[in-house]
Amino acid sequence: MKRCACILVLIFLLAACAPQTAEQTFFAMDTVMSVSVWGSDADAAAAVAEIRSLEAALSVTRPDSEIAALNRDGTAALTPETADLLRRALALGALTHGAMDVTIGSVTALWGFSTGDYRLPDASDIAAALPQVDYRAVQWDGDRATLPEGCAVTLGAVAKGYAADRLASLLADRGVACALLSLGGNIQTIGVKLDGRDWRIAIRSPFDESETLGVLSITGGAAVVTSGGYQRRFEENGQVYHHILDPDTGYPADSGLSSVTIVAESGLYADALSTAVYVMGAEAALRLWRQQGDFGMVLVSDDGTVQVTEGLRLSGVNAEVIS
Amino acid sequence: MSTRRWIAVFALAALVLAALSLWLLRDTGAAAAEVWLDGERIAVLPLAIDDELLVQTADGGWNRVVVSGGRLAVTEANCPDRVCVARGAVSGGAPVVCLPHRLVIQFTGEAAFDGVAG
Repeated sequence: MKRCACILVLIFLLAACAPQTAEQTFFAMDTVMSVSVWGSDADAAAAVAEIRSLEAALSVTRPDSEIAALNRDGTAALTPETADLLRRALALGALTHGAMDVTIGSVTALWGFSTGDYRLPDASDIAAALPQVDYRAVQWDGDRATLPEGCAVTLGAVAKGYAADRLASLLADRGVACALLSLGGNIQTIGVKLDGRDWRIAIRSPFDESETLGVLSITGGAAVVTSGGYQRRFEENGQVYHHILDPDTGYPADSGLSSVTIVAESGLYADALSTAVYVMGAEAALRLWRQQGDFGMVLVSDDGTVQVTEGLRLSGVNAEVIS
Repeated sequence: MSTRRWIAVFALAALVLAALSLWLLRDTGAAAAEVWLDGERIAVLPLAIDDELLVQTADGGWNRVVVSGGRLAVTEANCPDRVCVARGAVSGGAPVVCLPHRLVIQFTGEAAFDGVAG
């Protein structure tokens, strides 16, 4: 009888030993996010808690966030993490020659993209706010940042990517070997899939949001970030205005690209580059790619042509490989 | 073999089969659903992409199929018993079936992709 009981216990244990995924889908940073962790519910919950605390610190629309205080008072003593993020974001502004500039906050506010209150601003208002857009003008004294008069910071172009990096690090600390994050369409793969195969990350079509345009094969951990005007836009008087503003003009970027996908190790880097490349256009983007050599890119032009940089594995779509 | 032994063997077999069937019918988190109407495949829906499909039969029947948040559900239908609607939202496992409309939605084991960027 004892042997029988042991066998029974074993059978029940085997039936229960399925690979466990803890998954949470939630709303944060003004978008839908999901965290799939090959770990415990506590690991997934810790990830969600981390996002909420980041949002509380960084959101332009939360009155008591560090960034809101910085914009309101023109100066703020930031926490080391937020100061580090801001410094890195400004450095990425320099790297991209201002195509991605987090000091565009006062212009973004005119368009209402952060609050959902979309409107077409007066050209004169944009012209008045534009001179304050300058990543070079932020002053530092330790972790105290000071902005010039009229300048405001918005971390919309980098926050999700940064959050993905923070989560990857948090999950690694918790001993989670495998996870997949989707933060408003910013993908971060962590570790290797349980079956040992590559992650397959599809790219959403900018022309039809229920379709995908190709699938990337990603080995191990990486950030895959796609930016495109199609993601957030409004129409006024028959004209469509999208949320990726050109820091040079204050108006939605119009560089001939419908979507840009960046693959890189860091979420912050991929997020910043996806915005910058969307603004700068294919030619400048390819120069940056050759110069840096540390990211991959998929460009979808307005006319539907797809270009992919050498080294990325993209299947399911006719793409021109660029070297 | 004694009667007690036979009972033990059958009980064991029953438990194994029960565990096995639970295992096979679990929510597998499949990545796509094939929609078959009257023996013909009319659509393949990747579960990673939110979508809605109105299936219409030749004689006025209909089922509204919704994919949202990685799960598929028949949210409305005009069949007499609405068993398909009662199934609720699932992400894999046993097929979703509407017998009166000859509609079968089965989940493919092969994942199309793990996530969608953008």
